[in-house]
Amino acid sequence: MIFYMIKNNIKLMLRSPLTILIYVLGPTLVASILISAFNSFMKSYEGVDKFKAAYRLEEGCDFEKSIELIKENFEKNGITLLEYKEGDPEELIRKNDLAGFVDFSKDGYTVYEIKDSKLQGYILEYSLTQAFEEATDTAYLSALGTPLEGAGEESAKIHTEHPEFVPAIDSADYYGIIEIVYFASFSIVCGAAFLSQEKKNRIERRFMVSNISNTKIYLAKLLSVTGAVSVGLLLSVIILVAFSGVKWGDPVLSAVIILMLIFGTLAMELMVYSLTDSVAATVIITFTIIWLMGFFGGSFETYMFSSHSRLLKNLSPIYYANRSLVELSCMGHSDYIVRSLGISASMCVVFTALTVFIGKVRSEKA
Amino acid sequence: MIRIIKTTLKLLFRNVGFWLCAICFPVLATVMLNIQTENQSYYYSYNVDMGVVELESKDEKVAYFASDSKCVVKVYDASQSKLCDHMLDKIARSGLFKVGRSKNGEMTQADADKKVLEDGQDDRMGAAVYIDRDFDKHIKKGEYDKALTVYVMSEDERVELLEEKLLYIMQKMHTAAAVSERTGKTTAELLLDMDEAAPRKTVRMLSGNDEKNLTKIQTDQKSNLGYAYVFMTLGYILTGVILASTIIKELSNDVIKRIRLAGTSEITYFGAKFVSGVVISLILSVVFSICTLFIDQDRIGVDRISLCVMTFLLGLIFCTFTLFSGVLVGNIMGATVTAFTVWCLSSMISGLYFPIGGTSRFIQSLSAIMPQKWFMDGTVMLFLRDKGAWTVILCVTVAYMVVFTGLGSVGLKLRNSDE
Repeated sequence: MIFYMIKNNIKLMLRSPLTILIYVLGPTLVASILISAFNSFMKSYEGVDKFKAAYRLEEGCDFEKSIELIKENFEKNGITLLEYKEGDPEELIRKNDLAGFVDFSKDGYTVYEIKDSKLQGYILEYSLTQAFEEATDTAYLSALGTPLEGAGEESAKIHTEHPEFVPAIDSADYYGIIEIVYFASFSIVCGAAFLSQEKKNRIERRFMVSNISNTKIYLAKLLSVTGAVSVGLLLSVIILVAFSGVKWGDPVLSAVIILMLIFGTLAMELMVYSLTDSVAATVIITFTIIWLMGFFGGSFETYMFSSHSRLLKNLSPIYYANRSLVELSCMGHSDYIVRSLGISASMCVVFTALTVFIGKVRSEKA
Repeated sequence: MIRIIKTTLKLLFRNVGFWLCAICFPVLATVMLNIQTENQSYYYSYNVDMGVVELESKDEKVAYFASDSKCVVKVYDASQSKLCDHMLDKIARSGLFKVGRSKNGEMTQADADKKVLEDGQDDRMGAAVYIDRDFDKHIKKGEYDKALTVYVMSEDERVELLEEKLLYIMQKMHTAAAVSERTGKTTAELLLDMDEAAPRKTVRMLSGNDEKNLTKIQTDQKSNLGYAYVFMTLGYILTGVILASTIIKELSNDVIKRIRLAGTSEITYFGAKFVSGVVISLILSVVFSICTLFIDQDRIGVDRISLCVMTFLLGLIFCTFTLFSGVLVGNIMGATVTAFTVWCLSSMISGLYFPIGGTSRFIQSLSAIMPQKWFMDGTVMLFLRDKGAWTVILCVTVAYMVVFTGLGSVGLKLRNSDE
């Protein structure tokens, strides 16, 4: 009987494919936006290749004497300095595909960096700063009769430690995973269509006169919605892996974590539905709860970077799922897997028991 | 028309969901507005060459410092000496690093060893540096390995440059300390002289940094206002859905046909529904304004009346949009899902959750279509006391209203002709 009910629920859900489509397009679109938004911010530094920059010298400035030496040293470090006597720095940079521009004058020097090649710009600025600093320091100290002590000595060292740290994860991997978790947590929308149909046609009252238990009715809802949402999310995962290159650490373990989270949060959402007896109210209430869980659990702002208190993060079941999946992706293991599975399973058991109990009380009253 | 408005409002006021939305969302928006965030990181990311940023505690995160792709260095400073200040300033102004320093006089090396393990889990940085309590003494003796410890917290190659730079500065300080004994000048004075002798550097970043005019507090307030707009928009959308449900029901019950037979046009009917939307936007904005009375004006950043008017105008846009989408979709569930989807995506793309300056050109162009983006721009203009703020906000409101009202009326007409 339960299989018949699951089949029937899935049929009803398929009648309004828009709801299942939400689970395919929703995470794909939201993740794509967030991946793009945080791409440069979360990108790890991978070094820069050789690049070209331009300079202009004001006649009579102090840099005239040292420019050839600077050019020679910079060339050794992969920076080619080209002279442009005239022209607007921004225009020159854009037209000649340069990484930056240096304007040497009698008052000092101005480094023009450009957003599109900022890493090269920083290297250019750093190299100039270091070159002039070393030259000035050496000259100043020599004038006082003392050479710069220890400069270039191999023996002089600083104390360096290499503690353990979570490797940086890029925006594609982070948001490609996290948004699947977020949408998995809000699966009631998928079942909203058949729940409202059931209510409209008073199906539940009819069920009461049959010999089907409340537990079976409940399980049919839980399993059918979980199945439909899982299919939608699987399609979204495939799209994100194919087009954004999202890397999942351990596909099987990751699938189990997400599946358990769907069970846990859906059980909570069905309990809210059994309490309110209104699909719209359930959607609004559970959406608010899930949004807050996601807000504190890293669905929008990464959980590593957000300044929310640890207590609020720990209260969000989404946080544990997010963290375990992200760590699986970037480290291959995570201490949060057991906690995530435990919390989801506990939610599922507790809320299922409550829903069945509420259903029983209701049917007895009726 | 007045009778339609009265009937619609009566229906709305009888709906518990309406009152739930009208109270809960303004309250949630106010809570968001009142959250004290230390979003220094966003502020820092917009400002070039600010020198060392003082962290309020060793637990403050530095991850966002990396938003302009510089190598982030978190410093635990137990020495708090002038020499250390000089060294960190040189690092921060070198062009490659962003330095966040937390002053911890009591911190020991063992504490730092423990703290970096936590940071390695919950924060992100290129490297962390612990400055020993006896930094000055170690420098004088040339004990560079005891003066500080560099913790490598990433695979960023620039950390090697940091190590070289730190060593170079310490060697320079050591030499200056030796020279100071002969010259009568202090080490700090000698270092200052050397800095002054160096050519003056100016850095110009071409394109970007569009938010540098905001102060740190204003940046935090802007971030909170963004979240407040998120909740208020949701409130307007949901009340809009309830309003749209009256049209959907009336469509299915042929009420509109009867109204038309009584000599009332679709435009008048839709106009009446639009006026009802204005009333409910006003109700939510007033509730929000009342809620904001419980928090300090300083927390908001803009005056309450401006905020009330802005949220009201935002409400007008979203109520009208929900009405329009409700008419086109034709069923309450579809209207709710459409409204939710639009709310989710538009809030994100318009930069209410996070700045969108670093996104692709496509997303930035998409963002320009979202009303909230213009309201955030208007808010920034209000922060900066720009007189053009209201012109922008009003123009945007009128433009969206014209589009949504027009499309809504056409949609209603098309639906009627189909039936």
